[in-house]
Amino acid sequence: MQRWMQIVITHPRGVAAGVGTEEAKAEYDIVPDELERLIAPSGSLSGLERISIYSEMYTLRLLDVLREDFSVLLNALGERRFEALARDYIAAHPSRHPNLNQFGRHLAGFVASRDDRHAAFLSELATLERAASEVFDAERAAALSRVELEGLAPESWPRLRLERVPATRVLSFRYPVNRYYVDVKEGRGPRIPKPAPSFALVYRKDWIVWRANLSREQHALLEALATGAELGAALESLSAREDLDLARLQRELAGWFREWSAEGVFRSIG
Amino acid sequence: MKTSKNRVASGALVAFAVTGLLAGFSASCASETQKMEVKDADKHACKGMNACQGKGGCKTDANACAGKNACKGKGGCATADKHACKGMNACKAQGGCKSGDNGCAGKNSCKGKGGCAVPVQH
Repeated sequence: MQRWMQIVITHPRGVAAGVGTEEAKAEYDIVPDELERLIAPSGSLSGLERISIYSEMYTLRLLDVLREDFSVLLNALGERRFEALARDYIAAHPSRHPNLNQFGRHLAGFVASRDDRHAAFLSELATLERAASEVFDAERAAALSRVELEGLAPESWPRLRLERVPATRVLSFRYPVNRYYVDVKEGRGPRIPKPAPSFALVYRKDWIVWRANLSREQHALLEALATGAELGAALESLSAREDLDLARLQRELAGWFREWSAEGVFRSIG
Repeated sequence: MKTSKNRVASGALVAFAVTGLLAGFSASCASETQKMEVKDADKHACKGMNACQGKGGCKTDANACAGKNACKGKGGCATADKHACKGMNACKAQGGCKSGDNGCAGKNSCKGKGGCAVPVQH
């Protein structure tokens, strides 16, 4: 009975549709008109109406999850379009994981596949918001410490591999999505922006998720380090870029690493 | 020739990088310079983040915080289905949530934490 109820309550097109599925019929082979064989009516509600309350609650809860996790996308689309998108998403990607934090993981790709002239931007916006959710929920890991670093001989520094802690995401966008995010949060009612490359680091510190804009060079360096490149090789590769201002890099590099270190971006090497 | 130059440069760059890393360990908060950068970029570096509550200067955006950090200890896990409880944002202090550390990680422990609001850009 529990299995049957789960099937019909969670069916994206409602209880009547759920009752008619092969999966539900394998449990109880009834048609919607026979529902009251299983669900007794109350004084004011039919059996279908009674169980539909749970079905709609289920859908509303999933909608709430998407609204919470993609609040800026919601703002960009407006309530009506967002709900239409979310209901389609719920049907296309039913919740299958016991952790609802996982539920929105396909939304960016789903948005990208939609017939919408702003699909590319909206998908990137969903990617940024999804990254924040992932980082929020990511496994804890010890960060690189002073003791570890001071224990390394200077001649070994070029071979240092700096892995990021799991609660970080380095992102590359075709649109200025983080700027748009900020504008929405600050109530400026931004328009959908024109394409302009942007880069962001999403990370968690002391259980708080932050977004930081990155320069193209910072993004390239963090990506190189993420592939397992040694520090010396990653910096050599960066400094070889045709468009790089080496003098500026030399001025700014320590500041980059100071910030990343202070924010606990790199994982313990112990 | 270019490669050799780059190697020389990268040797210096490695030193800059490690110097920066070491400096970061001493930086319990951002430097004044970084604070200025944040102020220039975003006056509300915290607003709309996921953990506004309990932080000075954060203009809490209810939507941004909803379901993230503000749920700790609240009753009211939805009863429509098991999914509604597991892995939600308010696992702590609620009976019946068994999503483990990962499910709750980063969700409930934020409330009231202090912390540097810089050097980030919002």
